[in-house]
Amino acid sequence: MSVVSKQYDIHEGIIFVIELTPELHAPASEGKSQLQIILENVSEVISELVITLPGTGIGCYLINHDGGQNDEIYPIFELQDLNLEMMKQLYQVLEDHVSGLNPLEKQFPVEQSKPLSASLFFHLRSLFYMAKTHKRTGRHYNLKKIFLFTNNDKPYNGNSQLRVPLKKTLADYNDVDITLIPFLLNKPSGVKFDKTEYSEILFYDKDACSMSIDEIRQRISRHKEIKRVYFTCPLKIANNLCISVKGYSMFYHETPRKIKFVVNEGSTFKDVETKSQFVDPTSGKEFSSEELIKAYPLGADAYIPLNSEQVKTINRFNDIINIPSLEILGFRDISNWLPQYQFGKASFLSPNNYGDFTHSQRTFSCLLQSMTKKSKFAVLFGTLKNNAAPRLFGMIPSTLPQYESCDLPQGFFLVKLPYLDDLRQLPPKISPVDADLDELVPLFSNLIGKIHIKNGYQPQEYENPSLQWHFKMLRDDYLQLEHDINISDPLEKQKYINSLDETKTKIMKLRAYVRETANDSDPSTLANTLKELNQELNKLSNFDIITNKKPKAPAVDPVPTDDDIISAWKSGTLNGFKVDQLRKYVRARNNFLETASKKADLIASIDKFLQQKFKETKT
Amino acid sequence: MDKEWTLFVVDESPLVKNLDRAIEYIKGILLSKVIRGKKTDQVSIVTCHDELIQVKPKRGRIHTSFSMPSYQLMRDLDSTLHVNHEPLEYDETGLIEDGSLSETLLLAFEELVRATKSGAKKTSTKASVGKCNLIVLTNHTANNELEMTLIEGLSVLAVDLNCRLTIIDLDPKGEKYDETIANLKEKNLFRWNELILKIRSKSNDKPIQSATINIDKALDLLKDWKKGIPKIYKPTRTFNGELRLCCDIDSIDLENASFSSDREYNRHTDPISLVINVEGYPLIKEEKKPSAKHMGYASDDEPKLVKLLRDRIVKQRIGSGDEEIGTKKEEDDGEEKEDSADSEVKYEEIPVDNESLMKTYRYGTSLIPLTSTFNDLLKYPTYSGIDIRGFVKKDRLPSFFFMGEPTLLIGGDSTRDRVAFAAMCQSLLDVDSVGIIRYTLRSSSGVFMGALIPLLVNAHITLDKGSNGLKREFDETKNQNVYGMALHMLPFKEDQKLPFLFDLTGVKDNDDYLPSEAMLDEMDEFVDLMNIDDPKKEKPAIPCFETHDFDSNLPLPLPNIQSKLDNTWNKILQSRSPSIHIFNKILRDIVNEFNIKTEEGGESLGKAILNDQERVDKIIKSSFDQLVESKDKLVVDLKQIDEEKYNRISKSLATVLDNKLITEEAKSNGKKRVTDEMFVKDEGDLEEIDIDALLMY
Repeated sequence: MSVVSKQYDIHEGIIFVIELTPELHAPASEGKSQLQIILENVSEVISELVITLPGTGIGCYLINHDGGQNDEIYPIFELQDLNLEMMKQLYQVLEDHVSGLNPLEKQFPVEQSKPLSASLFFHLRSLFYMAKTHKRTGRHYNLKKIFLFTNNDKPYNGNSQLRVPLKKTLADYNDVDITLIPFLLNKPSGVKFDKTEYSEILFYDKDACSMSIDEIRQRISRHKEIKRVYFTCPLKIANNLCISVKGYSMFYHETPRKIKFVVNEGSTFKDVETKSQFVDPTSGKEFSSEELIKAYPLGADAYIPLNSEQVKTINRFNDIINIPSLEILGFRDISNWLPQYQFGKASFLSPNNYGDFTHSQRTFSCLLQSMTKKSKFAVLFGTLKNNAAPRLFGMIPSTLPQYESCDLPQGFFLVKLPYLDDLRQLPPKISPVDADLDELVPLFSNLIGKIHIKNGYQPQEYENPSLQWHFKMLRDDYLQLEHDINISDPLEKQKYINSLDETKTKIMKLRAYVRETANDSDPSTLANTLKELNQELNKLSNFDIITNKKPKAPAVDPVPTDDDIISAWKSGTLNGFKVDQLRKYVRARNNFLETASKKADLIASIDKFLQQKFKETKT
Repeated sequence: MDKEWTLFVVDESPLVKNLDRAIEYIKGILLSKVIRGKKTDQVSIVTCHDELIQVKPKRGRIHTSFSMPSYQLMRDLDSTLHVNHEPLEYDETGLIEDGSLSETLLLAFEELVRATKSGAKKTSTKASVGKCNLIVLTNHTANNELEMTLIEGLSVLAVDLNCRLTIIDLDPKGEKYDETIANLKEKNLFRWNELILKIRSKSNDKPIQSATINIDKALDLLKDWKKGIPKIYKPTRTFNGELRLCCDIDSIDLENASFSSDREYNRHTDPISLVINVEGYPLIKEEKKPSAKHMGYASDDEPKLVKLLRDRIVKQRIGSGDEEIGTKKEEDDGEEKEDSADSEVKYEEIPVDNESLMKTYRYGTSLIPLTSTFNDLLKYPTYSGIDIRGFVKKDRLPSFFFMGEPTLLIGGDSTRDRVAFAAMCQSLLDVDSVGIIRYTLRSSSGVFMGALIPLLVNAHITLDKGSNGLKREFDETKNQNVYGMALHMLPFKEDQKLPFLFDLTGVKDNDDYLPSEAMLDEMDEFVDLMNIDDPKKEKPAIPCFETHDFDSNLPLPLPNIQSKLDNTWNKILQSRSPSIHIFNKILRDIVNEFNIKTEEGGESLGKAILNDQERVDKIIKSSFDQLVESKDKLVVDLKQIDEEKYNRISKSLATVLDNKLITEEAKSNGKKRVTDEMFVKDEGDLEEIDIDALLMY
């Protein structure tokens, strides 16, 4: 039996194949042709994958293209690992079309429609092995997907001599681990895709479903995603009742990749690596790996050295419980779930049909349906990995009716519950409110009832603005796109950011909506409620002033305001601020001030900026 | 970090039989403190009736002045604490001539005052700026001479120092004495109780936890990992800023970005903008077990701490031509490079200086050089603040969306902020809703989306306690709840990775993937049987947050607290992390074993351990064997279920669902297919697994 590392290095290759038909060029939605929408989606997928899976290979090919390089397949860009060049090519194609310089129907004319052949699919299959990346680095695509877009519902036009080899070739895809995901598009005229012929040739019958062009986005999004297996383990439901499950990682906070250090060597960048060595701090003598031990400090004067085997023995709970494994301790009503006690990110539990137990999927489904019907969550105990310590988990069905609008896969979400060690002490200043809230609570309740997000929180509606900015700037830099504004000016840059940041736009829309009700005489409108609330709260502020109950002065020196800094700069008394105050001020404005550690450098940074600003104002 | 002073008073009078247990206890406390490595912990030991006391009047002897607990101190205890076999001498008034426990207690308080005063700020009016513990270890066979006036004075001192007094009886339970001693012991215990009751009556803070316990119980608390003390962190403010509703966030950020003081928009005067100042503190943070340090151990020298040096290098292939490890600037249409089958390739490591180092960012496989101007451009300026995007019903927001560790928000200092914050929380609780927010906790730390969950905080603890631990006077007409909000991070579009998975719902007879009606009925019965909801509580759980009230690193009994959480949540939240506490316990076992029995003169503990690995293995094994014996204790017992019913239903369920263990042979004959799955990188987890585990669906 072959054995591989658990950190299985997956290299995904996705080929977008578009079958050109005259209808694909016809206007379909919002004046755009189906081809334009597909290509825009491909472009979007590239932008997303660059953030989440930058090592993915992408290729985009047309079939039935008049004047292609060979009879069957025309590449818009060939299959290769994600890079800016392919982005540029696709950008150019779409830009030429939108600007009217070179419309898509001219760029990609349609050959007279002809049936699909087995050899075409054989050719597509070979693309994975002839890919540039594969040629250059020898890295195989070990996960191969073909997204086939077509509105031609007669792939073999009733010709059984074509059908049989076609079916065989597509069945062979399964053996060579290629997944064909068909996007069977209804015609722009509204005529539904007749999936009879495709049902005959596809390996999985259920894959053949017709859809409108607007529906492809979500299907692409789901199918492009790799299932990130976080763990596999048995789940003990009861005595003598165990099933195999696996946990997927479905939420992961993306941040820009770290800076990569290279050395410029003419035509290539050479990767810079980091070499670590442990040395004697006094003599500088290097210790070899054999001479290194690991020890646990015991105060300042002693230590406990333990070798890796000993640490492993202490950490392994195998002798006490089966590891890794999960065991259900009981079920509770979902109304008793306390979300404030969860932490970390949830894993998604799914049945493992290739685990150690038979009928895992059936029993999993049975448990899921029963818990959903009874609105229950389960409390579990166990470990997910071999060397992890056991802990308690909550297991919540994704199929509960209240989560229907979230469009989640069916299964359970596994959430970590804290130990006593994980709960933090409360701040000492916390105290009862000791006030009458009767007047304020109804006002807030009115606001909350009216500022209600109907669809709840849908992550797909919120792009990360800082992440998008990072990759947009990288892309724009490479494509040498000019911005209409002077981005090096902080104010201009902020204005530009405000226009791009959709999270802000949503909040500004709420404000605009509230403002619209400002002149309404109805006291229960949002604007009037807010006004009343502010009036009530101002009374409390006044009460503080009258009773001389000033808020406790902060233990630390306050961060100076812009006005404080400007007046101190004018009077030459910047030196009067403490280093900590200046540091905090500069750090808060590090988009135009250079951070520094020394007081003199901090003052110099502020001085330099204000001098420049002063000159600009003068001119 | 708050300081903690712990002072042990050890009675060495002639009738003390179990001084070794007292030493074991002190060592245990010292060891747990040393392993925890808290630099602000200070300990001191004062002895009573010590044979070394020479000067009269004898009030006790300061065995160890306040200092950080150390391994050396622990090691010396055996040889420095002894029972004084000389009979007690009495003066003409009948008092013990060489000092009683009450006088030693006064000496101990003097020590505490000196230590706490030396650490206090000059401006502080309070003597104590930390926590004090006074632990008296005695078997009460010598008159403690606690008179009423002294009890009054000592209680005032204890409250003033915010000190918890614990009296540990060194006699095993049921120890018999002759009548005179028994009467004296009873009298002594009565006086200790008087003192403790007096202290408790004067304070609602730490001194209220003063108590008397038996040495057996004290040692049990010390040894049982399930009663371990969590590491205590001083709450550190992580956010101090505004919670805003309907504010012009664009203008606010423009104001932050520019240097202009010309404000067209002022959120504090705008009638439809609501601003509440709030503060944030960590609510839950995953605690990790102690981490090891690298040490260099060459030849027979004593192991030394090492320094880690990092150099930047490039690897240059030695020998065969110009092949290099590098990244092409541009994707070339490329001649094919043959896969290198040469396993003998060698590389030379060439150091790189800072001047030739170039920073780049990746865009797929492309590399984009980073100039300082471009780097400035890439920065996305963000300014601290929390803006409400809207509200959703609590049950409509899937809590499994939450990521990271939550933050506790509380109202700001002013009355306006505290009341406004509390009113918003109460309204959210009333309408069972949560807030959806856009937030930045620290300027330039990025933008996040989050959820605000309203809660009542530690109501059971804080309600009774006023500032400085003095009793509060409640106004019944005013709201006395303590409000907070848990801030949880929500995923952005890019953070959500929902793959395509098959549906799992439906009913089908004789199917391998979907259950039949009969199976569902059996499962329904099982789910009902395993219900662990508290039948007494029909109402849904109260939205509150309760944390522990440990404010000391000492394993001493805590007063019973009326929790608002149900039993199941209480059991869950009271459980200790086995990985931390078992690990610490085994480290303590190793040290105890080597400390007590080793006789190697000047050899350090570390060296002794390194020289006797077999013994370490044995200690670890025996510690683990004890755990194996009590394996059920590892699992949190949430409910006692009727065993017979459970066996019957689970057997019937197992029969109908028919989940059998697959043999290795059957597995290898199974259908294999590589699918779109990858194993997520897990730090430190490099174990190998069967390829079949990867081949699913």
